[in-house]
Amino acid sequence: MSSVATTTDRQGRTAIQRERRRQRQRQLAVRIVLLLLALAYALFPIIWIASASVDPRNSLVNLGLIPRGATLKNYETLLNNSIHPFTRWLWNSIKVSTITMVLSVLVSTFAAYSFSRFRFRGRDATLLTVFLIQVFPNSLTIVATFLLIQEIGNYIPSFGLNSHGGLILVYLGGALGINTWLMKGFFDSVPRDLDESAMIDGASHWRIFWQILFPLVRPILAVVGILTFIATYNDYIIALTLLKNTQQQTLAVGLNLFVGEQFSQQWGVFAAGALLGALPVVVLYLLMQDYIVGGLTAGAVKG
Amino acid sequence: MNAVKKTGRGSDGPLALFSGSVTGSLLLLGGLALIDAFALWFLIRLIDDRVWFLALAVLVVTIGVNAAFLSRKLYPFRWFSPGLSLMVLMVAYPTLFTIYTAFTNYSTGNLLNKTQVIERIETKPEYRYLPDGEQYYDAIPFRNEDGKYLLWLVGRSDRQAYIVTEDDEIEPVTPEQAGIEGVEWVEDGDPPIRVEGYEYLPPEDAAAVLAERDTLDYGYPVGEVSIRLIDGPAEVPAGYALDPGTLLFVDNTGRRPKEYQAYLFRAADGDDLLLYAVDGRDTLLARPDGRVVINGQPYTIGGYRMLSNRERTAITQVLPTLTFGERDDPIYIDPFSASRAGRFRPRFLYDERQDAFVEQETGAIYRPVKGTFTLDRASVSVEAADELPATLSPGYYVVVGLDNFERLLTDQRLRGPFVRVFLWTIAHAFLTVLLTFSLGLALALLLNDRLIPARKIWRSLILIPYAIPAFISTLVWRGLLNPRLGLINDTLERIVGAGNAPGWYSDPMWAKIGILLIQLWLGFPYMMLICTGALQSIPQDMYEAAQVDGANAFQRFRHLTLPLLLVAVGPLLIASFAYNFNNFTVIELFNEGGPPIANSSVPAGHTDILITYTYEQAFGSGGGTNYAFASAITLVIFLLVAAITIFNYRFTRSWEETSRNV
Amino acid sequence: MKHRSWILVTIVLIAMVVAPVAYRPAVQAQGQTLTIWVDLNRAPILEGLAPDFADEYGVEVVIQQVGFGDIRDQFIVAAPAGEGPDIFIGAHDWIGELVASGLLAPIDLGANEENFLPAAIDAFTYEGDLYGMPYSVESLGFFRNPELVPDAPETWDDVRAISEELVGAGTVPYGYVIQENDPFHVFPLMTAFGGYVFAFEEGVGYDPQDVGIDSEGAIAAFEWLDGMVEDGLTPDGLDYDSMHALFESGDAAMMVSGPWAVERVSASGVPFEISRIPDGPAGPARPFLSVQGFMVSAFSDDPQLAQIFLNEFVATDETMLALYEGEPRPPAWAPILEEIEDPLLIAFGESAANGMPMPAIPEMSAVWSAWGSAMQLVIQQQLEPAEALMDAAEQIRAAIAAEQEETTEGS
Repeated sequence: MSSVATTTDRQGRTAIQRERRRQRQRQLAVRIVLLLLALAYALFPIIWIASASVDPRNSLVNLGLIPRGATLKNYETLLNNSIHPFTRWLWNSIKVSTITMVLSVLVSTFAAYSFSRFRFRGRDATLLTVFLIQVFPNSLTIVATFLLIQEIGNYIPSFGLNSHGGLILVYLGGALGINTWLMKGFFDSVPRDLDESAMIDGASHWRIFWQILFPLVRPILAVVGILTFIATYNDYIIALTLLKNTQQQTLAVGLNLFVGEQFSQQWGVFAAGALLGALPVVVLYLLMQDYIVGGLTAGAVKG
Repeated sequence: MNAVKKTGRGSDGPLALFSGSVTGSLLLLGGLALIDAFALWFLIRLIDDRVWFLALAVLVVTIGVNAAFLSRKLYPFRWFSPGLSLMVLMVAYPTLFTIYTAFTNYSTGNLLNKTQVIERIETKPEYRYLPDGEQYYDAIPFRNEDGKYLLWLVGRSDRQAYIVTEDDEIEPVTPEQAGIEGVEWVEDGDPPIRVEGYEYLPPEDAAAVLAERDTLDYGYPVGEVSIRLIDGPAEVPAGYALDPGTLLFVDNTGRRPKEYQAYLFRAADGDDLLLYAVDGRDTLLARPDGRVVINGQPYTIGGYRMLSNRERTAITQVLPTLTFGERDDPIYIDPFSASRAGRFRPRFLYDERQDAFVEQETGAIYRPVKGTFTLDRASVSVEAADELPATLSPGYYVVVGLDNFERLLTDQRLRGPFVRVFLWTIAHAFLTVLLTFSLGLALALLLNDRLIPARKIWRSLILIPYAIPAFISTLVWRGLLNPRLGLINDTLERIVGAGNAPGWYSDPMWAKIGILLIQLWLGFPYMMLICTGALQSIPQDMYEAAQVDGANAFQRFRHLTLPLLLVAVGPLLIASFAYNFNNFTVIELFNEGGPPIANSSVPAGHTDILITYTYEQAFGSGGGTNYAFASAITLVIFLLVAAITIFNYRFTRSWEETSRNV
Repeated sequence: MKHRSWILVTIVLIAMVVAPVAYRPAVQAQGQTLTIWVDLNRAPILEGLAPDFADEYGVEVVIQQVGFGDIRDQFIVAAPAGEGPDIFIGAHDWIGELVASGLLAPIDLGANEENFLPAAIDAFTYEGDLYGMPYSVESLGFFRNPELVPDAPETWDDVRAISEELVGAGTVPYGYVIQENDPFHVFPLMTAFGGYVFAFEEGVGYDPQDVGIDSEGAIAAFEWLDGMVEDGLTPDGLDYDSMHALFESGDAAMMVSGPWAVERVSASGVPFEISRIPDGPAGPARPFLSVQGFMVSAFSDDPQLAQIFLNEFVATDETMLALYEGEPRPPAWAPILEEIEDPLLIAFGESAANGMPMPAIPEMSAVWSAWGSAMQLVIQQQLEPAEALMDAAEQIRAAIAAEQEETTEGS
């Protein structure tokens, strides 16, 4: 977009430019209207949750976008009670998700590089297996996962039941397939001539990986990171099954306690918790956005 | 080391991970050695404890990692050995376990393994019998200084008190043992008892006698007591209506200290004092020789004394292992009760030789049939067989072959509206992916325009839906779409008139549209995110080249952006399809597959997908858990998804090839 | 090739040096503890009682919070592996499944038994043995807005008459509201008209062979409901939450709900009163009783300790009162129940007097969804009551037949 067609006629140029500018402004206006529509669609349920979190009634229906009365009661319930240590849960979730995110990105980047750049026997089969394992409906694997982590914990307690280590181990295993696939796709979209020419210059795979490809795929590292973070952060069933101590539980499990009873759900408290819980994700995204969006600099392409 | 250095030079050398430097190689070697040391330690312990599966997994992973790092041929594997190791450990086992489960009868009634079941049946209180004429007792344990135990027993049928020790037979309690010899109760009397050989001291006399003594000590559990005379009503504790001039005794034996009205008796032949105290409901008798009786219950018998609560909880594991009374027909303490004891015997005992349970009264045999010990009717008379339970509970899980799959194929209830459900499953997954991808891509493209102001903020705001856990969003949408009260219909009715708004809950088409709306909302930020990432990793110079070639915006999108994008996100779209194929949460939480299909032979709904439909058939709501059958269903669904996936995989391959030509 | 074998040797050597050092058997030494799983609402109460028990019995009580809806499923996974709780709180209709799998230990109440309501003991009794120590017994009651309905309706016909009057006059949009697909809330209505799920005999229990979903009474009850919807007196499309929302905003005059709802209705500020559920042509309405209590795991490391905790510590006036005061559910402990003078509780008690235990038999799994679908189809005006209920009964009978066929095959 930045490059401009050349023409020698000065007058014609300004006319075209003026016309272009006008056209662009029109386009921009249309785009902004479209974006506003999308934003409205994305946010009105959120506003509704916010409204539920300050509404004095504990109900999810019959709520307007504007609450029928504002109270911070739900937030107080959430934050000031030693029986459900919300801040502790929040911290646990952030800790577990961050560690999972970093390790998962690292490990799956290695794997993706290998699948994308090497042609070896068994490559297709391995790739397909990794993927098929990934699409296996895992709703029933929880019993086996529990037993496995229990077994490991008998020997290495910091990776057993009631440990964040064990939980992270399970998350890592679960996220690898999809992340590897995701990144392999991106590695594939980076032309091979880049590293082939480096190879001719005598660079090792390790150098090519770190100095040429890694900076190039930074956007996707950030994307995969955020996706892993969110998936880990929102997981309910695995954390619930592996962790039973209140102090160790994660946010999703903790919040569910408020709506676990069939007839006495505390929707207001839950909505407040869900909103506060969404904050770390938004903050993380703001932090990572520069990598996602501005990931491609001229320097990186030159390698 | 020279050799290492030399081979390390080429990029494919065995130790090339660290560019062939000596330090790098050493680091690598050291790391590998550490891993191996750890693995070896782990393996030794696993094999020691016979945890075969985990041992095998660790062995495979270790060998794999070593091979990948030491062999030139396996160089590519080096890169994904960490990932693959994790997958083998954490994913492969649970997956294999599910597949295995599909061939077993692992379900309500058969959740334990055989060893656990044998132990349960032998020890279970429900499977016990008392020989004729025997009864259960409530037992209170006593202990002497040698650590020997005595039980104070009260028959649950005859209400009589007995005593039994580890060595002596059970005997009815004597008045001396009970600590009540010579005591006679006087109805409505003051004092309420008379004691042989003792003389009652009225409060004033008692006060005089007490004043002469330093302390009164009655031993366990009363200990040193304080008894005082109440002079005026002011000192009377709340709840007691005591006359002035009453003796008060402060008790520290019960759960909370409390105060009794006290009566003192003096021995006719000496100075010893006997204490009797009442608080309306409870009574306490303390003899000068240290024997104490509370509510008719002695606290010391011979050299034995009753255990305190703390002492008793400390030996809950020991007590049930002891035998009391006759050696060959002892009384046991029941481990499954706070107080029960008796001559109970296990009714069913396992005979390893026959691999069967034997009923102890009739000798009936129970043989395992598909994980359940079942009465062999040939082993007893017909009359006896009718009296006996047909099977023993619980059962254990065993491999039952293809039973679950057979049921899946032959169960009339499952066939019902199967085709309808199957088609909607595919349509649902496909449309979800298509819609979310289209909207996500459109937004990614829109926001890729540098002229849009504050792009960061737009993007962050649009991402928020993804940061809210799916199940709360689904419930929120359920509220929004509520046909009576929901915000959406409220608004729509103002436009189209009351009663004309869509029936999101009752109209099959609108229910489907509702689900897609929710899915779109849940999923488009994800698609926007990956499309943004993908767009960014398409090198800019390609666009520049295309622009030079004179391609217009649409052409550039059609021929450049889209193919490259699909290479990157194609696999994800497939994964997303597979995920939504089994997206249980959204449908279950929104409308449980409803609205129901009228006149159907089984409960089924218009928006049921395979997984919700089959689960409903397998479990109903709130019923037992049939893991095995569910695993079989899962396996079949997996095969379907896998087939679709492999089919799609071909396309991915072709995209991959495309990318190489770009 | 030489260097490679050298590498291997080094690795093995290092490994062998390190491994024995690292090999140390796991140490398992900890004080005596009793682990209890409990939901969020009751966790604080038990947490508060734990120090007392530690004080008197020298045993630490570890409270672990698990959502009420998750306790059973989590228990099934954890107990056989030896990782579950010693004691947990649950509902009586769980026991059939848990006992069949051998996961629960029976509870020996001894002389304490006479202090519990017999109905509560019955509910936790399965095949002759007691598997839970009940602590609360709940049933549904009839909620009305006294500003709209000053006097409690005696019969369901009164409910209709009042609704017609109120809606006709335009005072409220709806007279009576009910959840669209919830058998639990419609059951009292059905029994008032003479309907039943399974034939019930006092002392014997439910007979799964006699399905009463399509009995005359059941159809009559659904026709009454159908009429209410048809005439616009009852809306369709309601779930539990929206039923409450209508009542709490004053847009509906009457509904059936439980003691658990009192708090939220009070919080809404709408005036309300609770009375006995109205009678029908067949007599009084018979709501399901739902009993909650403590259960003991068959895999508890120390079952006797668990029994001591329940029998000597929980089954006392002090603890039962603390449980009630922490969360006011109608107690199953008679001495406390007699002392309570809460008018709301008494109103629920009147309905509960006619209550019947919610069936814990495994056949119920086949019932809920078919029954719920029938209700939904009727309320959504898609099928006539008779047709919907006959379909449902058909489905239930087929499912029960299939289940029994399977059991006989297995044995």
